[in-house]
Amino acid sequence: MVTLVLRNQEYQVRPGMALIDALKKISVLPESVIATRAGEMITEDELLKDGEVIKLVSVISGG
Amino acid sequence: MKCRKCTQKAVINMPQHHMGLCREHFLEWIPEQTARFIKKYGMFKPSEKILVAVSGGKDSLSLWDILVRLGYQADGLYISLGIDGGLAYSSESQRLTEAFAAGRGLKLHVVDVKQETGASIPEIAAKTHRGQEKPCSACGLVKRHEMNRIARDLGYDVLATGHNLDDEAAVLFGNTLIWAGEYLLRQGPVLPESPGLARKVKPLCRFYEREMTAYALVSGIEYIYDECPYSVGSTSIYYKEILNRLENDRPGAKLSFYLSFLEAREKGLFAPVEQVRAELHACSGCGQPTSAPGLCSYCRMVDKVRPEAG
Repeated sequence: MVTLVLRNQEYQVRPGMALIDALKKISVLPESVIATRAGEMITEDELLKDGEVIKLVSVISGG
Repeated sequence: MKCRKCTQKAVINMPQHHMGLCREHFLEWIPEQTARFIKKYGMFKPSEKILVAVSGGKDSLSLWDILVRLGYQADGLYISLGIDGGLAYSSESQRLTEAFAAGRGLKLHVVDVKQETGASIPEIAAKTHRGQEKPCSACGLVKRHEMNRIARDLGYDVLATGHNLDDEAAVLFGNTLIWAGEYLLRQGPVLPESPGLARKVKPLCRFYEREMTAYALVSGIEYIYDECPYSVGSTSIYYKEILNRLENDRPGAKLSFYLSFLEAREKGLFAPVEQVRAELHACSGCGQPTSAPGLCSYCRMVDKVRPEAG
């Protein structure tokens, strides 16, 4: 499985899926996050591999 | 996805520009575009002294980084608000801002609200009953007052803030929902200098919040990731989420919303400023402009919290 981490929440998705589909599956808008793999930013067409952890950095701030 | 400018792998896709860029070209593109916006909107000249309002967040620290990279004389201003919220929010954001400045040899001014007024932002809000359950209204008023005071007292030509396009689109959205005419007239990349008020500029106003986060990440800027504890559930975040849903379905919608507004105003869609803006008076306390004779909102609020006032 692939683990997606957004703040303190973890989500599991199937490997082989493109990041954009994984985000849709966990109901996260691509516009609201930057995805990183091992500290490197990746684009939404990237295919996710089994066992990896994708960190999602929330971009929305303000008050 | 490949970089538009070379064969490297892209690290960011920007559908609103139909463009992906690799790390190296993205790091070039952001300052290049910033320089273009500074020129296009006539924000400031290379000879002018800039005061950058920095909060320790991604946008303001990135703005400072970009202006320095572009060769501008830019100093920072950090306003310590005294917000803890269980996260040591203010002290951590101050630490990150000071580390940023020290690491680059930049000049940073620090203003402590408690030292200036005798109370922190949450204390001011509680004592004055300003705002509902949140101190955001008091915070905005204090920050606007202090930024203007420092910019003028220390002789800066212009005050720059890190507002990005999502910030601007959310404010515009909120003001449009209630057709807040005077606010719509004032919103823009540049608020010109007027008696008692420093010129204010927003050089990042055409970048998406996502792009600014990406810039901070690829530049290795350490910023405060935690949100202000009082911003949870705020209207501006709610509007940003709505606009992001729109953006997701129609890439470029946020940019078009903001740019079309600027263009419509330029073409005279709204009344000229002179017909709407109220006459301003100098505050009898601090001297800054206010809409009615006597004390301004800031002085009236701070008078209630100063220790001697009991």
